[in-house]
Amino acid sequence: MPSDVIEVHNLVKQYGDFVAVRGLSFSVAPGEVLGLVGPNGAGKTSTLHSLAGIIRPTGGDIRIAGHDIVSDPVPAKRSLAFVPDEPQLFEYMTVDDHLTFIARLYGVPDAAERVEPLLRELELADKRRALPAELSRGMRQKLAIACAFLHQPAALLLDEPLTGLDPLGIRRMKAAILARAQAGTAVILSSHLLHLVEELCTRILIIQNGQCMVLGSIAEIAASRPDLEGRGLEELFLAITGQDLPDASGAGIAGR
Amino acid sequence: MSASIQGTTSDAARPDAIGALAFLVTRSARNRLRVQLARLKNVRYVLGMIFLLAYFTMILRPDRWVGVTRRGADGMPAALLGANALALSALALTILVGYWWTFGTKLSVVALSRAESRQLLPSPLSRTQLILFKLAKASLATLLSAVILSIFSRRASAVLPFPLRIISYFVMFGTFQLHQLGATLTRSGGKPVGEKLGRRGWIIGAVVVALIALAIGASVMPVWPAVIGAPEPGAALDRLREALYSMPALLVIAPARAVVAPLGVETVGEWLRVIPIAIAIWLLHIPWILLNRTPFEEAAVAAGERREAIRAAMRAQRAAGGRGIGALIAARAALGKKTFVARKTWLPLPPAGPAWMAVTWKNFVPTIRQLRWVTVAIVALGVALVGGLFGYIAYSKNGSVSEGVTFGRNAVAGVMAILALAWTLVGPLYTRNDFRSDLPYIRLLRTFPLDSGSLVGAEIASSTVLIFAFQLVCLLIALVVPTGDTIPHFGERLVIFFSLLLAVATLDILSVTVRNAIALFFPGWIKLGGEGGGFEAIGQNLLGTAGSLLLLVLLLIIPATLAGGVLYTLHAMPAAVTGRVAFALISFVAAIAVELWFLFKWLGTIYDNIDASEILEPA
Repeated sequence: MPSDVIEVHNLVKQYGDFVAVRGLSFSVAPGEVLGLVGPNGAGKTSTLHSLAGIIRPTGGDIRIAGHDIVSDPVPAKRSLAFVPDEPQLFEYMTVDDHLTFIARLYGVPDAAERVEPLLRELELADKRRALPAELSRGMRQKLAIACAFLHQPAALLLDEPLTGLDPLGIRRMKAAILARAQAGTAVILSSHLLHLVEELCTRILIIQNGQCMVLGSIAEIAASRPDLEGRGLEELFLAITGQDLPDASGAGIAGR
Repeated sequence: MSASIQGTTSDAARPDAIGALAFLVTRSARNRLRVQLARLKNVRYVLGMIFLLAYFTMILRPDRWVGVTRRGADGMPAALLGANALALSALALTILVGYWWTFGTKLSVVALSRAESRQLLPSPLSRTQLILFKLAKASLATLLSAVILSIFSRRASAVLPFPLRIISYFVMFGTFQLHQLGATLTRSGGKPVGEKLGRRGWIIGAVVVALIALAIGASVMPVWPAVIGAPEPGAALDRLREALYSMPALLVIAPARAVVAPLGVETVGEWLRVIPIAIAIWLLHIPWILLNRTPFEEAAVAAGERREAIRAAMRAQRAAGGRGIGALIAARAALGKKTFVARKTWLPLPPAGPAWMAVTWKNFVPTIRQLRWVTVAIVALGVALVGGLFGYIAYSKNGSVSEGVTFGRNAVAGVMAILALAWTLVGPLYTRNDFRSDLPYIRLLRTFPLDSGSLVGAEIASSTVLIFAFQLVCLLIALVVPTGDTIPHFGERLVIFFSLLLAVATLDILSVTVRNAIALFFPGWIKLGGEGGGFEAIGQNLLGTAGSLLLLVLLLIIPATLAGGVLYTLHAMPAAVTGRVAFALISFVAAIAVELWFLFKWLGTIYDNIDASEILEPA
């Protein structure tokens, strides 16, 4: 059994008096896709930003490919890629420039051979000399993902990766994510699209108020809650987070 | 059902656009102030505030701070602008007006932010209300600039009290701000601003420029021999001023002169006579703009977008050598009509090598994209014209072609040297290819596999190298071009050249470091990303430059003391002067290098500790 690529122990993130993440612990092995879900304000972004080294955790340990993200950030970051929900691209750099930049930054010696198939895979081949402002929202998302894929990271953190993509783009992106996982990348995927999480993820981590509510495969989660047996992720999620919708004939509507 | 649901509006619920906009402005300003003051919970910001207060105290009361005795009114000039300075300012502003009429301007005054374009454009606001809202907002910034400039110029005039200086500056900047907008709207000839200019627009621009050129030329040309033949520069300027104030030049100069005149008065009574005219000109601009029916909204949105996010599209078009306004590119791309292809960068980034160099390369790319050989050619032509003008003046006086050429070449060298030195002050303000542009991307930067010290070095190197490259070219020209017996020989010039190179490189890197340090220390207070504003930001830019210079002086204390100490110690030794100076220079550079090493490490720690939520993400 290969060792875990992403290891999180007792992660705490506090903003002043507000505790966004409370003692979160989990790990992701190579080839595994962990779905990180939770209601708005649950602490997903704080968790992902802590994992990516964007914000400093208040407490706990995060190790990426064996390197502590706080005390040994450079090797840890060399092993990971983070795709934020809003693609952050440099406005004066073309698609090609972005990939050249990333290749040098992460030390990808065979970048030239990797770029062409990557651009074809993400349908960016005819946009190589376009600037971000000339790309649609979906195309910019694809470029951000291409930058993340280029250095073949051991750990891949995806925050709402399918936002802005058309149906074909979504299908291709799902295939691309799965291909990376099959190649041994440890993936964390945060999304509100629960059907996507259900389809792609091998395990699910549901968090609420910064705490882990459940962690496991859908079958394992359902097994821990016999009352929810046979239900899909959406119903599991709503039940676990206590967000069950009222009946369609709920008082709020009927009372009008 | 209630009436309001049916769409009728009772008197009590009547829309109050002005009230709503006033609420938007005041509440936004209040909340912004609150957010910025809330930063004071952080020790860094408390220290910054203390420094800021000390800085203002020093500006306002240097006698209390550093024992500088305040000069009495006797030692001050009466007017902020002397008679000749007033005339030349009026001429320069008239030429600027001609430029606006010919080429238009960015609509920064009415630029709509993304939130404004999404919220206000679809709302039931009239065009007039929208423009008034934007003008009111811009006026607040102009007022702030006027206050800052009035503080800085408090000792430049014995006559004008502080409030009158503020009014004078405000009216002047406000008028030219409005004129920029009015000219751009009018020359559009009724077409939406930003669309390809119709023939009428170009005719308007050409007519305005021709009138200005003809009027000034008709007045100045007859007296030109007297101007260049004047025994000394003051007399030449007097003659030029008289020519500018004679007909027909006065016809085109007069409006600009009237607007600048409040800064050139020698008594308060005179100010009271000229200020009503200046205010009247300023006020007349408002109906001119409001009555203009040119659709500007799309261009205003584009201007706002350009400010916030799609400046790249503007550059892309230029890079591709296209025509028309670049802001339309994004829309065209979205419609799938046309994708502009950016020019390939001529500075390659090898795939192997230090990772920090990738960051510096990334920061170079915008400049490479924007640099056009035609711009270089225009600058070269401008410098050649200056040389030609000076050469002609020398030739007119002496009748010798060789003396004319010599004088012209030396003038070019002088101009280039001055440009290089001036760029030490101005370059770090406008070259922002460093943390000032990159901090909005902090969430991305933090994922880079780079230690923070290297990242700080890479960011600072980006701007420094660009600034230095320009100065290097200028100084090289200043080294090679001069000729004649009156100037130092080549060997001496070479020493001066290398000394100046060292000096400007040192000042550049320290200035850029100071500006980046300010950005890293106070990301929640200073403007990150984007471009500097227009007239409305003059005061703020001045404030920032003066503050940076102050920090720069502080940073130079140790290296300068060390170099001075070395010179003093070696003074008694029987070494050659050049040897002593060389030792002093080496110790100066070494001290700077040590200082920078510590600074980069320290700034890296500051960068690591920045709370990313202090910084707004790029739009």
